[in-house]
Amino acid sequence: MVRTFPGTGLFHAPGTVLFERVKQPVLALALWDRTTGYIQGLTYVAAVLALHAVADPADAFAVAVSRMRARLARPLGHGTAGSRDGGMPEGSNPSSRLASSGSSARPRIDDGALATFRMLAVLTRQPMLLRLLRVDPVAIASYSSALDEALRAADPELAARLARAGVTADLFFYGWAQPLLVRSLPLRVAMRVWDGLLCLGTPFLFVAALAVLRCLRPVLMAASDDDCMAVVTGGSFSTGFRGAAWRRVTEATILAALRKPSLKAATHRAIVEMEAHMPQPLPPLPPPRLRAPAPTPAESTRRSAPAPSSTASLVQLAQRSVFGSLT
Amino acid sequence: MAAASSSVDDAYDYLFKLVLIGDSGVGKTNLLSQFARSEFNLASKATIGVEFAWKNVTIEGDVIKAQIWDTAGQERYRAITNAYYRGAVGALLVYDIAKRVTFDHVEAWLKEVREHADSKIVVMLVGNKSDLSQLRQVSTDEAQELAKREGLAFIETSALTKSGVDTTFSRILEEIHRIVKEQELDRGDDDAAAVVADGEAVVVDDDKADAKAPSGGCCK
Repeated sequence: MVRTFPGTGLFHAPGTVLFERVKQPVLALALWDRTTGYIQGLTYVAAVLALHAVADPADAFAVAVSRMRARLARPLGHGTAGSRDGGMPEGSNPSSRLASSGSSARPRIDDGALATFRMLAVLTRQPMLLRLLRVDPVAIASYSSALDEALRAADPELAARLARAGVTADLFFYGWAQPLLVRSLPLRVAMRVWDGLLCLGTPFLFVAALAVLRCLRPVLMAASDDDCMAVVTGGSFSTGFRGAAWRRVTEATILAALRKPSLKAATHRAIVEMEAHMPQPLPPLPPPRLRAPAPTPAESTRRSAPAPSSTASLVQLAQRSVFGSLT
Repeated sequence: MAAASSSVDDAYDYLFKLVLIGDSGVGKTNLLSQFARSEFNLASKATIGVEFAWKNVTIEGDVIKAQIWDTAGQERYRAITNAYYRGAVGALLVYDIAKRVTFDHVEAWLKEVREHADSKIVVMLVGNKSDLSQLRQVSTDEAQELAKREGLAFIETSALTKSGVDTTFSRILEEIHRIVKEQELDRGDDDAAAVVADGEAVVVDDDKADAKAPSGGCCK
């Protein structure tokens, strides 16, 4: 957590709203999808979601994320991600649902944490992101060579320069893509990429990666082989000449690079085509059920998150019954 | 050297590839940034995938280019990070002296290296965060003992204060340099191929297509 957006200080203090809104959804997700479990990088994605998490399910960002479901090869169980009280299927006992509107005797979940979890659950069911989060080496190799190929088509000169330097996408694509470019780019710039990501789905990551390379191009063309390698494995957080290179990736430059239509359509098509032939990363998980919290004495000693306004910990509830028995 | 800036491929006599491995959060990225750029960042981002840096150092008159791959420490990433061991002639296996569990995992990391890297790779055990002496959970003696048992060099460092950092890198590079020199003397003995792993670890002549007209000192 401390290493998520370290520059901002927003997510560092246990007990603060944003800290819990990232930690709890990430842990709850790890419990729900135990095959994926916890992986570094997910906190970046969760942090962005938490910043956008508001109680209103009609919020534009939440809607955009939940609409990504339409593109899922296999949907998230039979649940309805957009349902009014938190987007998750209700249990048989409505009064024990994981929503904020329960009676005061029931544990309350912070709306923001719940909204974050809801979005995180939807987003991480995207097959591409799931393969990345599960560190599937075969898929990662395919994605990397697909980016190499897309670059050769889009910018043969830069592709040739990187190839001479021994810089292939398998050295950097994972680090860029798995946190959905949030680690590499300043947040404002990354959000420009997310606009496309939410509208067009995860294949847009490749278009975005080409756009980033386009912005870095002047540096990469001039740098030594080793410096090319150092630049692409760095990010906007880097210092020195690497940081200077990444400062070329601004809202203006990335939007300009993203506007190249031919590149966008061809790359998108190629990735969609490739993904269609990949094995599905998982059988669908059952939707997180929200019923029958039957706390055992041992569980009451579990982590009690000092969440704001005496709300219960999403993780506590998750551990009791919600997700634990499902996978 | 007539190199105009550090971003030019300088001439060098040897190219040594090193990898930084060890548990997440032990300070690998800061060790690298201290060595390569004299920088330390208390709240650096967790590494996802790999980071890369390089630095030239001179050992006994030879210019050594050290290419250093800093890998993500979380166990989940091993499926992709062990590919970076290929061609490495040295590994810095880092643990946190103030976090016992990172030391307990040293044997597992060793196994990982020995499985995926060349058998003659030089491994150095590095106890980082020596500035946190009041929180120490791993004694120097104990680490020394493990290093001795496993045949590793050992050092304690602080990426925060830079104490021991340069020594760490120069010691492992000197050791590799010594081995390579010995092998050069024994040339003809096919064993030399062992450390010159995959033909890419040790480069005596910079034959890269775009090498910027080395100003001498490159070819032996």
